[in-house]
Amino acid sequence: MQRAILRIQWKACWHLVIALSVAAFALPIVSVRLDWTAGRTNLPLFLTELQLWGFFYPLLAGVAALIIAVGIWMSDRRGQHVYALLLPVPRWRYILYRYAGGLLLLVPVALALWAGAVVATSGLGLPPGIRVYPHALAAKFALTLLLLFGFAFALMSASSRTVGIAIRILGLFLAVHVAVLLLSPSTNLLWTTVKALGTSPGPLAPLGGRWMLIDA
Amino acid sequence: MTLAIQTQGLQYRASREFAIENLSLAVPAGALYGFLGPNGCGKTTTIRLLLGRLRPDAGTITLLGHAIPEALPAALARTGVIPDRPHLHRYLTVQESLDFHRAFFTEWDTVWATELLASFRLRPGQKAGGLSKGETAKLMLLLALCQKPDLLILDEPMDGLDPVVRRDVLAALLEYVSARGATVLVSSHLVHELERFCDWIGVMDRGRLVVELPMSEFRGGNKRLRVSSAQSLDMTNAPFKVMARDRSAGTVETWMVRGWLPEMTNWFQRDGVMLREVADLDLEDGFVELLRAFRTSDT
Amino acid sequence: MFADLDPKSPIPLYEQIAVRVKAAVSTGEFRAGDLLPSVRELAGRHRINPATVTQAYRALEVEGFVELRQGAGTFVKSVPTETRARERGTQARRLVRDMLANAARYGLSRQELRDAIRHELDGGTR
Repeated sequence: MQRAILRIQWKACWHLVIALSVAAFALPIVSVRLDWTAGRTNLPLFLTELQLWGFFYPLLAGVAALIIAVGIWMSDRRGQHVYALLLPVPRWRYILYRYAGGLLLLVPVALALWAGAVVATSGLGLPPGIRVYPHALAAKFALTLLLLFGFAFALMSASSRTVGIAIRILGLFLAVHVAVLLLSPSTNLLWTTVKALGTSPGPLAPLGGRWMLIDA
Repeated sequence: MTLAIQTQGLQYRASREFAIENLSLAVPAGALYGFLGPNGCGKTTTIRLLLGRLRPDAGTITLLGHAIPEALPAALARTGVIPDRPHLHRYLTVQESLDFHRAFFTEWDTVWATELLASFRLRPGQKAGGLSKGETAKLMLLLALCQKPDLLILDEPMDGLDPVVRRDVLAALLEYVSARGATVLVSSHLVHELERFCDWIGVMDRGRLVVELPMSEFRGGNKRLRVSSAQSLDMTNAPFKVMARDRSAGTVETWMVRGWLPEMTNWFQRDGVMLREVADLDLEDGFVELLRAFRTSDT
Repeated sequence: MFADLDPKSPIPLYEQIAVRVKAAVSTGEFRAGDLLPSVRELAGRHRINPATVTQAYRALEVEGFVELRQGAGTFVKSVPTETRARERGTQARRLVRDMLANAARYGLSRQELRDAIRHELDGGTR
């Protein structure tokens, strides 16, 4: 059953997987190639540009996660899940098959990034301390992918009612944030929450932190 | 008599205006059960309840001995379904659709699948989304039949199909039933088609089950009588139920009755009254008159 | 042979099938040893309930026209001449009964009917 689901998901998304893998492979190469020349002349500029490139990694991870999550659920959503509900599989197992299938589709993307990172740093003569950098980058990317896919999948597999509830909760939170901000301008609920989530041990920690190599 | 489908006291409120009320269905195993009713009477809602897609407010459902929704996957493993709207993944080809479906059912008839593909004239490489209405219906039936189910639940499977496709669909269905002895619940508007092969009939109207009995009893008991000089007849102890009475043609009236038995001709041995004719009502007439009588008795 | 089965008729379908088979045997269209179409074939081709077909074949077996051989099918038996003659008699009487019922509906008298029969048997309407 897992194979059958994987097969139909592959048919639906293979072109997306290829496109994302190409992008994932290219990103490290492009970011390193473009910046290294600048580094020789202007260090501060180099460092800022470096940070900028760092932003693209979680962005790519987010885009990939979302695209694949949408792609694997598209057909079921269009049919209002009628077919899935006719199959003799408990709902939770069906969802698990879809999830595992989606993860498998993202493996090539993570591997492509790893390959790209290795290729990008191969011609650079990295000092011994940071020789693991491409692998660390790939690992961080894979972890981020996993995390963001989890969110995107949950969103796409949820019924419209659940999504509606989630949106309402978010809206409520934003309303509270604005109210608090008006009453006490120094208290920024949103920023505090984002920071808490984004720094270890918060769930979004892998997205933050240092993506790019600093100080060769 | 084992029951393939049984509901007891099923209640479901779909909206403020419409609810399924106290529905107690009993479909015997091996029956070809025609599920009739006008548009909007709740047939599709009932089928959705049977298949666990909707949760009832009250009542129990049992499919092939499995309680719904507790043992839903076990019941679905033995049930072939054609839902009211095409459910296939449109981007898969015919062959891919087959391969996907068969992965979920342990008993799959590969030989018959190949035969049906040929007799239905479906090309394996065609995209499911590109099939015509008739081809889609045939593919859905093929998938439902080749999984070798013990129960088939078909929601308007012949809706909008031309007569040729209808024949092909019914032929394949009845061939399967002959070989396997499966139970079939077909909901349809096409009363004439159902009349040919159904041996049980359940009629729904406005969320309630109006009648449920063997086809022979339903047909046999519904008659059109032509009676003359019955203007002043006292109907209080009539052994049959009069569904309609048409007095427009002078002294000879046409009555539609239910629950007729041959010996009831004796009841007409009264002064001046003459029973001129007892004719069968076909299924469609019987169905229409039954609903009319049911609705007037309701108000 | 079974193309004009009428589910709306007061005659049950199984009886309609049985009558047709008996007629075919009486006229010699079906000979002893011929295999009747299988339940599956008949049910599928004419979109009727397989139980109806089975019922028809069983009735035919009881009356001695066919024999059901497990796994092989339903075969026509050699029917003695008297049985065939009796069957033709039954068919003829059935036809006449239908005609009489129709005649009553039109309010025809016995004499009018007899005249019409004689007329038609003598060569038909000119």
